[in-house]
Amino acid sequence: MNQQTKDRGLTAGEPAQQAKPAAKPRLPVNPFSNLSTDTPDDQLLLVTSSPHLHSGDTTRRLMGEVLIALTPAALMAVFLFGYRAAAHILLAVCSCMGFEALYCHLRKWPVTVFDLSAAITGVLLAFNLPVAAPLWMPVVGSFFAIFIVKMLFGGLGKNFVNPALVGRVFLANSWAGDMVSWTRPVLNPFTWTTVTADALTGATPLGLLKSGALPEAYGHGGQLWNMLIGARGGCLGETCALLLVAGGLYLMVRGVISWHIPAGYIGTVALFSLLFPVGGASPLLSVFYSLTGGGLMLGAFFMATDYVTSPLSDRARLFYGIGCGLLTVFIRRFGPAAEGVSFSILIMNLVVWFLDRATLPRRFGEEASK
Amino acid sequence: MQQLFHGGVHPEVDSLLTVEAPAFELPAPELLYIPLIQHKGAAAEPLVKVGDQVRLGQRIGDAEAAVTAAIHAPVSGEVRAIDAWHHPDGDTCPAIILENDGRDTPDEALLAPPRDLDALTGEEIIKAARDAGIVGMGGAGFPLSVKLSGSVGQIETVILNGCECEPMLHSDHSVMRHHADKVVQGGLLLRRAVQAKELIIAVEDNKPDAIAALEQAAAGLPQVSVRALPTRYPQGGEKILVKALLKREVPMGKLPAAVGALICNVDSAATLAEACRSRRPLISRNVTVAGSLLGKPQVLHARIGTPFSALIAHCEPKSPPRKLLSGGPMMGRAQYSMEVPVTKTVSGILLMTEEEARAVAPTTNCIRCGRCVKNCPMLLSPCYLNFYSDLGNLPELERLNIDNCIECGICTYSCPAHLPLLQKFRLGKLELGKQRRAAKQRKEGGKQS
Repeated sequence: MNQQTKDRGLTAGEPAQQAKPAAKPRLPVNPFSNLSTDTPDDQLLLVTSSPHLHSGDTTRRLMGEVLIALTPAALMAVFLFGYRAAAHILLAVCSCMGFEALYCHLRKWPVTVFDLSAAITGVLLAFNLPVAAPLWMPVVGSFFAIFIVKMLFGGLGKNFVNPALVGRVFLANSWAGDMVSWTRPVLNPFTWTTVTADALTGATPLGLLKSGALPEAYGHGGQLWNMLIGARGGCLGETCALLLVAGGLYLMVRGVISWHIPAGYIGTVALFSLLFPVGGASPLLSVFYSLTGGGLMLGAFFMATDYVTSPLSDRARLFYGIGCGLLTVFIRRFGPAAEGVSFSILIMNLVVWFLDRATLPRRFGEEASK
Repeated sequence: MQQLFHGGVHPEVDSLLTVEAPAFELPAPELLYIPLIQHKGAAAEPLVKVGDQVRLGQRIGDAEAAVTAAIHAPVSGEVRAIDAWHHPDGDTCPAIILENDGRDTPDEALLAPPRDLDALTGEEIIKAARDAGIVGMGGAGFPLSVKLSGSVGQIETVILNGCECEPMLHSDHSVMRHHADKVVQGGLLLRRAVQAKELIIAVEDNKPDAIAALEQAAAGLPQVSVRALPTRYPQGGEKILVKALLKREVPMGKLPAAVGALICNVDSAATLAEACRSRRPLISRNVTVAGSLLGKPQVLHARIGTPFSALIAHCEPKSPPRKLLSGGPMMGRAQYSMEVPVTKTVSGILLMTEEEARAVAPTTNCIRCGRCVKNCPMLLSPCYLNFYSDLGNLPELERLNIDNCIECGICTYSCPAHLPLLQKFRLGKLELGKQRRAAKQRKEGGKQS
């Protein structure tokens, strides 16, 4: 047998053993006589490890679905805040992808830009900027998010905190003034919004609530409706609660995210706002403003659900969502700032490994052995 | 239908064949290659010499070991060689190479008058299984007689596994549809052999014709129940099946006997019924031959030892395959040669085209999407197993119960990053096994000195 194995492929051209009974085949036969080293590779049978089927899912498809889900909110941002919003989004996406490509080039890695994860980081980073922020901000934020937070830790899947959120926090702490220069929505996509005295009069509903006043809403029609469509002050992508929820539901229907994180997150915030109303509002109004007045919808559906920085199992995801919710409530209520979504998600990012370990599935068969 | 076990997937693949007609009896080829290992346990020793004349059904290989199975001549003819030949489990294995004389002269034992199944005792049934060389034909290949004699009196429920282990396979489907009476008889014989109370025949609900045939065959037998289970891979896995039917989990490292169940493939049961009646050993079996490049994909009934090429030729291939599998698409083994023979455990032959074989996207890093965790039927965390196997951290792999992995391939199937997860886990298990053996040896060495 060993001898036969050693002969593998070395006896090319020997006739195979399909001889007639009349002319008895020369036996013993070499099982490898019909294989030769000369056989071109593409004529040999391909041997791989099982399984031989694949669901067809790819990283790029999943990331692409997230981008699709973000698109309506992005278009709405342009409508609400003028085409300066589009400039922010494009700059952030291009620089995120560019920085990732650059890093891969410098490290001589295969270029991973086309898995589209950098594009998502770009969109989310832009969504977290006020529209009046200077145009270099998305570029600097992208550099920090991609180069420092994502690529230095090993690229896709290796960063332990959400790059877009760290980018936002980096900008907010370095150029605090620019990051809170809220403008009124212009409701005209063909406007180049700039920081003018008039525009600056905008403020976020959460900020108003914090100072004890019921928020005003902008534009026409009813106040609550304006909150839903996003006609209020805030970061350019966070204001349109309706479309963000629609995008989140789309991701759930498509099986990209599970309901556990958004439900845990939003549920917790809603519960606490109901029990302890803010700013002298009625409990229901307090819930409404807490959910739609800040970055909660963007955070709960698109930032906290980032695969890389959220737990693996559904049970852990629920705990993670509840944790995000509790921290958001505490920061909004007791912290110096009006908004706490970014920091709550970043803090919960740090306990993901702990949550994963604490919720490891029980061992199959453990029930029976007890 | 409600889900009866955690995780699992339902791959949308179709083998494009029907089992309306009984499996076609493929004529035996001129040369048959009968590997001496077709089962778990010790390899059989040849009982014949080169040049010997053998008869159909004659015992040509066996061993003394406790766990082994006899091997019989699938045709009558002359032993041309006993030499290494391809084996569907990979690499080569000593095989008896028979030249078929085309006459199918039966062995004397097969000419004895048929036995009355109702008169057979448990021991006689186990002996019949031993004499006929019956093994688990679903793919495991565990000798049936060993399984039976080891669990007499411990079994409450005998489960006949008619959940085709994998998508695309229809071999057992054909047996259940066309030989339902034999399946039921075989199940009853098994039940008697291990003194069990009840007999459950489990079939996936995408085979209503098989269920109908079995229900008809089992009519009037209160101890037999036919259960339809949701079609969801890996429903046919032994531990998964016990969980679904009995709501009990087989503890890690234990056999289903630990929870009072004995699982047997339906084809093995039908073969046992035939062996008990006419003494015909396991010398042929149903093989699904499928793949989009076949003109006539079908279930064939082939003699053990028939090369794959003969079965494929019968199914009118339009072009040569790029990838050739023995078994199903999820757990099957890729073959390097068309000349590997059908063994007792080959339930299917799948042919894949260039596109199907190469349908892989480039791998990315793990994005921690959690699909592997969600779909793992054994409640493992493949994502973390992957992480620690990349680090070579064997203690952590052990702590995360890598030994529980049944290698169903669902993690790799559903991984959007296209990581070769199962391949890494196999390697991890292998390394862990090596380490354990080394530790055991050190321990024993220490005692001696």
